[in-house]
Amino acid sequence: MTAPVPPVLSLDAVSRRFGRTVAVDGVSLDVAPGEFFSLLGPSGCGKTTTLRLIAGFERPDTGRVQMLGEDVSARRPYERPIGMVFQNYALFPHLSVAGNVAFGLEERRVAKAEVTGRVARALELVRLDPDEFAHRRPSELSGGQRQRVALARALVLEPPILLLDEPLAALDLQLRKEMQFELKALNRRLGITFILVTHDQEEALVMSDRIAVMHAGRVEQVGTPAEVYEAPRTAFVAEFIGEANFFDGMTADGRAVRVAVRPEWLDLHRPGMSPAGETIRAGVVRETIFLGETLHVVVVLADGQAVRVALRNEGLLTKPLPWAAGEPVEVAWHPDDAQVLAE
Amino acid sequence: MMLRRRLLGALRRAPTLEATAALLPAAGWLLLWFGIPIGIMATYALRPRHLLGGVYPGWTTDSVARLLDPLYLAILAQSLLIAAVATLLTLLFAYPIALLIARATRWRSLLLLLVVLPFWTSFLVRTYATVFLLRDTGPLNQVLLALGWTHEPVQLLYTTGAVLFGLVTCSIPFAVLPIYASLEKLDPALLEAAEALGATEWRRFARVTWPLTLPGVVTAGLLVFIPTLGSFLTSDLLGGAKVVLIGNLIQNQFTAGRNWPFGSALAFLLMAVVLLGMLVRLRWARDESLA
Repeated sequence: MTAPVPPVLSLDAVSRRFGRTVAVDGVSLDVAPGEFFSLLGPSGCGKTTTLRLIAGFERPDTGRVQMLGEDVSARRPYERPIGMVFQNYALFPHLSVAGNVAFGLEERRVAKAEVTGRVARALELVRLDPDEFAHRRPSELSGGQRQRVALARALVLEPPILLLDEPLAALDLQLRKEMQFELKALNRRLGITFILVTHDQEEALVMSDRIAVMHAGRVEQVGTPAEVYEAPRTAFVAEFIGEANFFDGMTADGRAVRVAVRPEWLDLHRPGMSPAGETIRAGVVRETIFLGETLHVVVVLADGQAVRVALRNEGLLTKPLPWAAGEPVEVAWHPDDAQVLAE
Repeated sequence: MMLRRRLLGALRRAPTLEATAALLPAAGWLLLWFGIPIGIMATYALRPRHLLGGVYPGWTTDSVARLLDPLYLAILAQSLLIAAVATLLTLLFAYPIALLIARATRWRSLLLLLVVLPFWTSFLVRTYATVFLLRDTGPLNQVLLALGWTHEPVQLLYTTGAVLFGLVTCSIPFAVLPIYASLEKLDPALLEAAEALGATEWRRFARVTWPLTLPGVVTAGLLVFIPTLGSFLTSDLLGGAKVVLIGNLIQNQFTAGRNWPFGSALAFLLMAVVLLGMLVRLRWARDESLA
């Protein structure tokens, strides 16, 4: 076993309140060097404030922010080892693309001769041709190109930590998928730690090494995409990432618990046909929803709860579903697939 | 035929007939109270002078030629200089005030109210108040005497400084508002981006805030410079007879001087100078938006 790598960033019980609202409530996190780490949650969950605390635009009321082993809680953003990509890019409208990318180098008094070369390399890194784009104004760029300039402007300073605040939110779906892939590749290639804020669970799952799911100012769960998807710790995580059905049940030792079961882990059987050892709930099929890759069958249980069961679409035209609305069925799952939720 | 077709074409290209009709009252108003008087002045500038005021029939370029007299050109130059200095001083005071208001969150409405408060009193009253403040027996001199900094009243009134003081104090509100508007429009994320890139407070101002609010400053400058250049009341009341600006000169030609043609010619000279300034500004604005 190798010695654990010291974290490049750690938050230690950080809190920040605005008036009477607690935006961030005792958040602790450790991020490893080179990691692609996402803060995921709905709007108002505190993820953006957490990022601003890391950037230094906000100071924590309590708790500490550490970077590269040093306490940076009281430091200004420009005294921290960070680069940042803003939600709407925040490109300087009065400067050219080259002027925007050179801004940080000039502020750090990098020699003029060196600036030109580094700007060109940063633009190439984000796949913008310097000859074509260097002299354009931000207003003459498309959304995707602005995004790339914002990235180049932050990366040119080679910060150990890159903060990204909903960087893809303003892009259309096609471009967003492309940029997800590129961001991930940049993270791998440069070895820079990426910290991404997003409300898009799919984006977080696709790109992240680890995800912190936030809710009401707190971190609900930290884990790899597989962990937060397959073993959600709370009802909020189960519902926010993917879809989930919730059931009340008993453990072997007689404790009342609430479990979450993903639609794709549920099976449908004719009454009395469920395999032994599975947990069973009886109900009636209400409708079938066609989703392309999968089909969702909505079953209403005896107590009125609607349960979604996902079945693989194996070709509706050749193999129509054996379930029709109004038919009695059993919803069944293997006990191992039920995630016991924390209270 | 051709003309008719062209007219119809222009009408068809025009936004809508209703929109054009809606503009008619405004256009008529401008023609009646701006276009026609300007036309009358233009003809007056080219007519012989009547000794009792007004003009004789006939045409002459005497008044226009007189504009080139070095005496009057010197007054124009002095007016331009005073207006420029007053404008710069006004901007120098107005920018920090606008910045303060833009940054104040709680007191913003109150501060804005304070800026426009002077508009609630007449300009004339404010100028007389300034006379009262600056005169030999005024509060300012009394304070200086009481503090023992001077043993006899300092001549404050009827100086170029007094004229500048009057012009600047009256102009500040006009300059604060456009600068405040441009500061208000500035996206705070740009300042944060600059901060993340290593810019300290002063550098952020120099590299982001200032260049992006410069159009507001230029607008404010014009808004102050143009009325200041044509002003005559302030120089009259605060400068005594010592400070003669082109506004005083024009006023004088129409009153005591009884030389309406020359007054008209001077007025056109002033207008030409102002229009030239506006043209430069427009040209600059277009370059900015293209760049």
